[in-house]
Amino acid sequence: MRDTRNPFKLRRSENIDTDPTFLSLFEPGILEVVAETGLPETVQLIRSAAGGGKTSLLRLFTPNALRWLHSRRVEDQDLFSRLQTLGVIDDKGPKVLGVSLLCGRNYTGLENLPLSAAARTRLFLGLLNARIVLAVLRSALALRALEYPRDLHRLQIAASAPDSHVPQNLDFPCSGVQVYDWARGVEKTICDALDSFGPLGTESLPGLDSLFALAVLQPQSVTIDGACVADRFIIMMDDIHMLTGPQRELLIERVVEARSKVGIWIAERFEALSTQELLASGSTVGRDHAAPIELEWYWRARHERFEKHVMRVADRRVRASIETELVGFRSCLEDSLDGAEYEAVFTHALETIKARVRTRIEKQPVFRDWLSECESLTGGARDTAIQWRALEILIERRVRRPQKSMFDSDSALPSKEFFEQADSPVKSAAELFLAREFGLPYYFGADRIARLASLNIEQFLGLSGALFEEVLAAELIRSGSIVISAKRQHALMKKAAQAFWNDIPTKVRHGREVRAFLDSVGRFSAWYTYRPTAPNDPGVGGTAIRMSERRLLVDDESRAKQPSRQRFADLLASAMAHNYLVADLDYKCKGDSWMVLNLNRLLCVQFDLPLGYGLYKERPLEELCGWMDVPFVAPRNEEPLA
Amino acid sequence: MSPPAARWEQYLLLRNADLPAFWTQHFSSKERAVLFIIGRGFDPRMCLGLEVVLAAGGGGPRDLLGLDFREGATSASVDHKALVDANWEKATTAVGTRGSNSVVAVEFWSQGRRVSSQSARDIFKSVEQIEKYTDVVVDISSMPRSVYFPMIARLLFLLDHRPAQKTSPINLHAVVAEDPDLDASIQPRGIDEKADFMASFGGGFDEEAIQTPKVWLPMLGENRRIQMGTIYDRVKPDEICPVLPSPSRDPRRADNLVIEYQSVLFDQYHLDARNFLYASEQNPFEVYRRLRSAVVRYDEVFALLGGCRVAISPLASKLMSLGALLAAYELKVAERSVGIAHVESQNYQLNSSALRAELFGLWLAGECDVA
Repeated sequence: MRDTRNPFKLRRSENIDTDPTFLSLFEPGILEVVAETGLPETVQLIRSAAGGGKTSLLRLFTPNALRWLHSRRVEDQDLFSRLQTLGVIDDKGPKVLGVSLLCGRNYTGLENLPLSAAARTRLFLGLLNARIVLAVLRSALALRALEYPRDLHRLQIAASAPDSHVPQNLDFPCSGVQVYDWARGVEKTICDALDSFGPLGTESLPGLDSLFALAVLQPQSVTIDGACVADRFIIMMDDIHMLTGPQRELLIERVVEARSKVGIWIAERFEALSTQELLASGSTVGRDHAAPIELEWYWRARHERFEKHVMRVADRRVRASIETELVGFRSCLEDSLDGAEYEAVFTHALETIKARVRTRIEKQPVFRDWLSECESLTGGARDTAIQWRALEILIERRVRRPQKSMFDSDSALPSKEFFEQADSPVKSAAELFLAREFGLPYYFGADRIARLASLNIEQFLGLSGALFEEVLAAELIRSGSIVISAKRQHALMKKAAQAFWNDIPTKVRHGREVRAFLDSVGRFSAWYTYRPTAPNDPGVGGTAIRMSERRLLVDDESRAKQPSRQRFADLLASAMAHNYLVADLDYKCKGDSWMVLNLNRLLCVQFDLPLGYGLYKERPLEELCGWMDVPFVAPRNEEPLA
Repeated sequence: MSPPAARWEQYLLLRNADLPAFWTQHFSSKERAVLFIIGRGFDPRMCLGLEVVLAAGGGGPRDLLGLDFREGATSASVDHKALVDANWEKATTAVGTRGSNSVVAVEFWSQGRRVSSQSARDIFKSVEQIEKYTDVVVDISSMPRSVYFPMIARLLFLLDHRPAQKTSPINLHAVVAEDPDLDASIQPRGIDEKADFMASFGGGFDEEAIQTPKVWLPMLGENRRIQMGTIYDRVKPDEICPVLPSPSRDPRRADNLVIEYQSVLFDQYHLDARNFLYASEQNPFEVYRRLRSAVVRYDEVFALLGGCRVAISPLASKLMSLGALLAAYELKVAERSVGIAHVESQNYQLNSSALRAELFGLWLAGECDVA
């Protein structure tokens, strides 16, 4: 095992080279996503953006990981007992054979062959069958700690499929060697043809009409030395998004049709979905328990749980570092601005705001009692400055009310009303306004860093990795543990947000258009958030369209009529697939249903926006389409929006 | 398995002033029929090689084949159509009455899938298409890697498998105009979301039956961090040996690249610092030798485990990339598992058209083999 200086940089499961390291970094909390009601027993789609945690989850169920876990069940009691509860493992060893099958292979090349669609389908199924067989054989031997392919003669397969489904040159029951030879032959023939330097010969390529492997490879029919390999089989197909659209559809259709007793998990990125599918993704309407598990969507409804989960992930990574003896991540981060460093800034802010408020209401006795309440505040400079800034917001709201009520009078507003209105959201807005106006840190502290992950593990590891790098450097230079200041955390988050922003045009399809649109959403949200009245306090982090407008984006005819809608739908799908926008569908508000488009929380940093979910300011669909070409420009006056 | 004979151990690499002299001498020995293949691109270097060949004189036809890249609606060929047309006009004017001009379409997409390398590989389906020529010159200056890698590999294959009775060799040359400043000013604008192995260069990475260790040789170039990550996802290597340009014109270039990729290489990929390979920035045959010997050694080391699979990713200049092509071709013919993992750019932004190119010529096959 290689020593790890900054384990946060191991952002992907593939970067972790050994199973013991993988297990030591694996945080069991993610299991609740797939196993809320027990392990899925039939076909289960698992989706997320890149870095959502799918591959790590699947790796846990592979034979070597389970065997390692069994051998260290005392140290990893929590993980072991959770899997034991799910029936995956017990004191005797693993009870489930998890078969990892990467589908990001050369299947797409089959689509280029000069063959009929039917022949291409047969080839695809032939290759897929061969690879399922090979993966099951390899995994079965691994579960019994045998060597692949040397020990295949100890494996026997008694077919349980109708003969008509089985290839003619395979006779069951047979040994693992015979099945291996068949599968290897099929794979090699097809791959050699695809990979040839010379012109392609397609005449004798082998193909099949069904997924016979799912029928044949059942737990009761696969034995090693006469004993069943495992109680249950789970075939975990990863990287399905790398298949072509028709191949993906065919695979899912055939797998469902097979009604195999083998559990089949199909993991894919959102990129695999068509524009229509993506725009419908996350809808709760019509869903049952067999609906796809969409990791971000799952966490979206439980974001506080996600934030606790990633903190435990971080703690494991801190403990795994060879460079520090720290045991927790939270303790590395300053989480308040109560230190002496910020006292002077808050004092200056307080004086500035006081002067501004006094000038603003000099001739308005209506605010006399509110003012006197604030004048009598005795807390610290920070709390007092926030109260005064809240007062300023409430005064602006009162002054800017479009139409005075007939009951309004010039008599002083009661103090009680001030305290009622200066609630938590207003104070949060006041804090945000203060931070921006006086250059105070805002994006700091463990809770906000977790929120900035935007429900994506890889994004969290990137951000926390940058912070942990500073911890390591500080320990090295100062020879002692230090806490990263709020100011430094804020600066690092700003830097990370800028890098995230810069990468968009290169990283995704329609990247330039996606970023131009996000820029408008961000500017619009910032303009709306920082209006003097702080509407929708503490501020918005996105926009929304009506569900009826979303239907126009999904509807083929509507998009055909207006090419800008097609462009916008594709752009939106791309942004959602890569987690730049997180959509909430069917959000009920103002007597209507909305599709809320939340900016990725890290993009909120780019525009100095608050990090809460769910607050938005809606815009008409046509205006959003317009932002693709003409960026949003904040109006100069403060007229209300149409 | 004994290592294959190094086909390009002895080589002919010419640059700048040596090139006109070579072509003049080459054409003076006998009348030669030349097929010059260029990409119909926006790159101002597109015609430099052609002009040198035409200026060398000599008898025989000088035919021009332009590859018309069908890259899609939002592509460089559409955005820079005026430059593409001007370049082609310049090329056809230069050929004039000395030969024919023809254009072949290279489809980059089919039903939303990138098929550029398959399309490029199939431009030449049989050796009959080039039988009437004594020399085929491929100018890669304005061609993407996904085009010239499979196309040159196919040409080499066709020439290597030419019927024995065809005694008169056909020469295959590659020409490239190198301009690091211009390369730096051409920035990718969006890359494909998935990396893949080029047509004919799968390297056995996709075979479930093969579970040998995977070695990745990324040839590092500036500003390719996102491409690196995308290719890494596809290759999922067990061992990484980055290739650095050294010697290079800027002696600090390799150091700067290590600094640029430091976090990715060391923190994410756990690179062992002893794994760096160094190859000359301006000598593709040196690159070929380095890569070839690295692959052969890895194969020897992993022999007990059944060998290994090697993926090369040409993220460096086109000149260096040619070395990767030669190594991969030769080793694959020798039945080694070598692939080319690559991610294509969707579009490019041309920030400057100032031209200070150095022209390089490589003689890859034909009479040079006989000699």
